[in-house]
Amino acid sequence: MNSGKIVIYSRRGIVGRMIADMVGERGARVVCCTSTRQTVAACMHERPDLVIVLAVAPFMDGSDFIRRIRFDRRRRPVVYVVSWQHSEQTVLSLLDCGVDQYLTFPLCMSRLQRKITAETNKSDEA
Amino acid sequence: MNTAALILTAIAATFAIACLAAAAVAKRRKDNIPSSRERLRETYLHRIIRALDSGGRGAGKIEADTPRRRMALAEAMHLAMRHTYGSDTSALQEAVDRNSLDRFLLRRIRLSRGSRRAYLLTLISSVPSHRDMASLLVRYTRSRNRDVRVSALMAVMAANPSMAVRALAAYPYPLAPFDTARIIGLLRRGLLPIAFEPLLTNANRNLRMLGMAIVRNFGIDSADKSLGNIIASDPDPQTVREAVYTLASLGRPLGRAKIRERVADFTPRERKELCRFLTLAGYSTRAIRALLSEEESRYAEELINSHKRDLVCKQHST
Repeated sequence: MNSGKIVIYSRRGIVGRMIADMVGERGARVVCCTSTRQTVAACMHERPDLVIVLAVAPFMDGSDFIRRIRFDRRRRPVVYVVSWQHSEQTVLSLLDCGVDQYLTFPLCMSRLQRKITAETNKSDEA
Repeated sequence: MNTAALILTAIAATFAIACLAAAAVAKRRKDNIPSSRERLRETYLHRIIRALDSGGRGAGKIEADTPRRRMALAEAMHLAMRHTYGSDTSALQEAVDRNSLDRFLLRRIRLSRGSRRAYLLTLISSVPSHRDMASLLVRYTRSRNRDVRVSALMAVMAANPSMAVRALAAYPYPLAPFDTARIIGLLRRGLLPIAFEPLLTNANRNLRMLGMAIVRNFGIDSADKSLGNIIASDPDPQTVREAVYTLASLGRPLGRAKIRERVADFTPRERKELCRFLTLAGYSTRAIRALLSEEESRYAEELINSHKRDLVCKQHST
């Protein structure tokens, strides 16, 4: 895996760090955040290739979260949302919001790692 | 007088210390500062993820020598198992055996009561344990506490997946939707087989309910016929209701005479709930009118109109 940058947002710090352990083993630089404000600041500072959001709420609270994390139009980070929700309506609304991938818990570790490797490689080629 | 003053001072001091402690805890929570127990759990979690990622290497070296550490290890395993699937969990068996984690949890379960016992049973359902553990946990499925018996059922099913259907059939209480959702959680982690057909035709009510929950959760639209049979002939109104909802969540047509007949037996409140569900699921007002009375289906129109008004208001405000 290359040295892509990943920002992970989860209100439960331990879950965020667990995902960071899963994806960070292969050389990616991972920053974990526990608030949306921190996430936006990390995106501005780190300019990540990928943002993993382990919640649905930031997209629904009217704070225009996705626009704030994609403030730089030239470097548009890919956004993955991982949540427990399975409802079709939630998934469709998130995809309409501009989310690139919606995954549900429980996650397959190897599948997540491969997806992220492909994503960071893609952004490197670009 | 002096004694009274002393007592008052002691009470005031205790109150002040309690307030300071509460403030400190609140600040820690606000700033997301982990406690020592959380840090310990996180250390174990990191090692578990690393072991799972490397196909089990290093799992045997995970050591928890005190009860506090064993508990943290069990909680870390639960967290990892709950959020992931597809990894080789047998790798963790070594860590469980080395630290006698399943025996430790079993002892704690024996000594605890109520929600604490239910929590420990939930933990043991995530810890890879030997099959004989199922027989030791069976007695808790007959607990008077609902949370305990459902958690015990989960633990029994997880300990011996090949006997899961038998354990569920022997469970003497009706499963609530929340309980079936918990079992679906086990299915999603790949711990149980997803064979819904025999469940749908089973005489046991709980197994039929689980079968329908599987159909709903995994969107299996080939179950149409079995669901139709349940609606047509099941004596339990709750099972019939669940079958109608399952059929609706699959987006199948609901205009059949038998379905109309069974829906007519619903209470007015249940019919209104169904009307709302069908509207949100995207059924046309015509389809809803075919199932419910003219007056009842007007509610669907009201819902759709209020949604349209909401959209128009949002467009104007942006």
